[in-house]
Amino acid sequence: MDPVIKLDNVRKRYGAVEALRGLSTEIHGRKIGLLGQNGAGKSTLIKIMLGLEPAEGDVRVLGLDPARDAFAIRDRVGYMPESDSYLPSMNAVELCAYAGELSGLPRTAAMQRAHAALYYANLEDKRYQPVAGYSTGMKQRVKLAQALVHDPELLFLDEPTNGLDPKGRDEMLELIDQLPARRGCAIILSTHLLPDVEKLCDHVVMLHQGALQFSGTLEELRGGDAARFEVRVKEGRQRLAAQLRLRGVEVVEVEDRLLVTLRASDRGTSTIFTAAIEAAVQVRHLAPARATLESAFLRAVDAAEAKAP
Amino acid sequence: MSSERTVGATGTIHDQGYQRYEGVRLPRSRRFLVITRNVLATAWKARWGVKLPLLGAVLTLVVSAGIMIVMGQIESRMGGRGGRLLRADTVLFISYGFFSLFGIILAATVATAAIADDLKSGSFQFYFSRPLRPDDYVRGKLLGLFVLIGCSTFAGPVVLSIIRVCLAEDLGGAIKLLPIIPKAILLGVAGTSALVLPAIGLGALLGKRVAAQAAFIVYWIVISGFVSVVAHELRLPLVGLLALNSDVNVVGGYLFGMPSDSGSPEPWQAGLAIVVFSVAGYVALRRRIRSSATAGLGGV
Repeated sequence: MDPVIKLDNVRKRYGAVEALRGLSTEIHGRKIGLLGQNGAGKSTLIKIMLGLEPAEGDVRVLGLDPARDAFAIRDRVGYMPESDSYLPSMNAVELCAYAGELSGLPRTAAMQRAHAALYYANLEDKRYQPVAGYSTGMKQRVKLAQALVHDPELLFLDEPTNGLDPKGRDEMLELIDQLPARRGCAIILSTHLLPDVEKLCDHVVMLHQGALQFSGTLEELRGGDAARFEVRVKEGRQRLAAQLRLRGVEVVEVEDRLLVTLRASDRGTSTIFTAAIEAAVQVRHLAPARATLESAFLRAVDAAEAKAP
Repeated sequence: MSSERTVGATGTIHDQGYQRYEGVRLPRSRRFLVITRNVLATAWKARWGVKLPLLGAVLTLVVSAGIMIVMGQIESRMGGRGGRLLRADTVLFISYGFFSLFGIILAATVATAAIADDLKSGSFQFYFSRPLRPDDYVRGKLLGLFVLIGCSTFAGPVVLSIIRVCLAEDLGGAIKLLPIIPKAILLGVAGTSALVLPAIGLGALLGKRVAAQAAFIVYWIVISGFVSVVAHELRLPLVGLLALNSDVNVVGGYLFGMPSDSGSPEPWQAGLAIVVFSVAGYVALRRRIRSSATAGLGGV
C-alpha cells in the first residue's frame, strides 16, 4: 500500500532558524497523530504538505509533490484549522456550501453535501444560525464539516478538541474516530494533547525541535515489538528474577513487581512460568506491561535532548 | 440516501450514508467566480447600506432618462436650434454626480470591509487551505466589487448613453451620437476604479472595517472637499489632483465637452491621478494578501 505521506530528507529554514531538520519517513495508516510540543515543527510540516511553503528534500502527499501539485493536493485534502476561521455573515450551511464550491463542487452538489456534512457533525438543528453566534463546541463542529464537505481523501485536523469541555471533547473525538470507516478518508491529527492521540490514532509521527523523533505505530512507540510483561509473585521475587536472567531474559525490578521483556526467540509466557517452577515461586499476576503514551513521549523527548549538543 | 443514527460511546453519530462525489468539478481557473458571487450575495444581505444606494442609482437612471426624453422632444420641436446634443449630454454628465454619490456609499459600506472583515475573522485560512491562489482571491473580490459598485457608477452612465443614442431622430443622428457610448464607458471605468481600488486598499491597509470606513468617508467628504476648495481658490490645480472626485469630474467634463474651470488640472493629469490612486490601492491589497495569506495556516 502506498504511504499517505512520504518525506525524504525534508528541511526548512527560516533565516537562521532550522524549522525542520532532515525529516525522512513513510507514514502509513488511516489515523495518524502528529505529535510535538509548541515549536516542534508541526505547523511548518502541515504548510509544506499543503504546498503553501517550499522545502528542501522530497515530499509526497497522496503520491503527489506539493511543490508541483499543490492545488491537486488541496483538492483532495481537507483542513480543519485550530483558530476561528469563518465568514461572519454566513450561517453554517452557506459556509460549508461555499467551501465545497471553492473546492470545485457544483452549487447543487455543494449544498447537498454541506447539509450531509453538518448532519454528520451533529449541527442539523443549528445549521441556519450565523456561525459568528456559535458556541466554541459548535464552531469546532462547523470547522470539521467545512473540511469534510468536498470529499477529502486526507483530513488535517489541527487541535480539534481545543477549548472543548470533556463531553464535547469526547464527542468530537468520536466523530473523528468514525471518519476513516464512514468516509474513507485518512486523518492526520496535529496536537500536543497525548490523550487525544492515544484514544484516536494507530500511527504516530513525533517531532521535537524540528527533528523526527519517532514514526510508527502507537504500539511501537509504547514499547517496541518486544513483549513486555508485569509479573507479581507471592514471595521469592529475586529468585525468579535471577532464574529469568539465567535464561537471558531482561528483567527489571520495580517496587513489588518485575518487568520482564521477552525476546522473539522466547516461547512466550511459558518462559516465565518455566522459570517460576524452577525458582519455586508462585506467580500471582501476569499481564502485558504497556507504557503510557505520555511516558513514551517523554522518553523520546528526553532521548532527543540527551543527544543534542 | 438512507439516514442512519448510530449510538456511540459518547453520543449519537449521524450519517446519511456516505457516497463519494464522482461528478464534474469546476475548473480551478474559474473558481474566482465563486468568490465574486459571494461578494455580491453578502452585499445583498446588508440591509440598507447596499439596497438603498442601488435603489438611488435606479431612480437617478429613471429620472435622468425621463429628463433626457423630455429635453429631446423640446429640442426636436425647436427644430435643431441651439446645440441640442450638448444639452442632452449635459444630463448624462450631471447625473454622474448622483451615480458617483451612490457609488461612494457602496464603496464605504462594502469595499472597505471586503478584506478587513476577512482579516478579522481568520477567513484567509478558510480560503487558502483550498485550491485557491492569492491571485484568484484578489480577482474574485475585485470583480465582485466592480460589478456591485459599477451598477451605479458604470451601468448608470452607460445605460443613459445608450438611451441617448436610441433617442436620435434618425439613423444618421444615432451614428453621430455613437461616440457617447465609449465616452460613458471610459467615465464609468475611471469612476468605478477610483472608488473600488482605493477603498479595498484602505481596508487591507488598516485591517479594520470601522477604521477603514471612517478614513474613506473622511477622505471623500472632508479632505477631498477641502482640497478642491483650496486648489480652486488658490489656483493650484496640482493640489486639486489629491481630490479623487474632482479628478473624475475633470475627466468626465473633458469627455462630455463641459467647459473647464481655470483652476482645474489638465484632464490627462486628472486621469493619471486616478491611475496612481488605483494602483496604490491595488498594491496595498496585494501586499496584505501576500503577507497574510498563509499566516495562520497549520497553527501558529
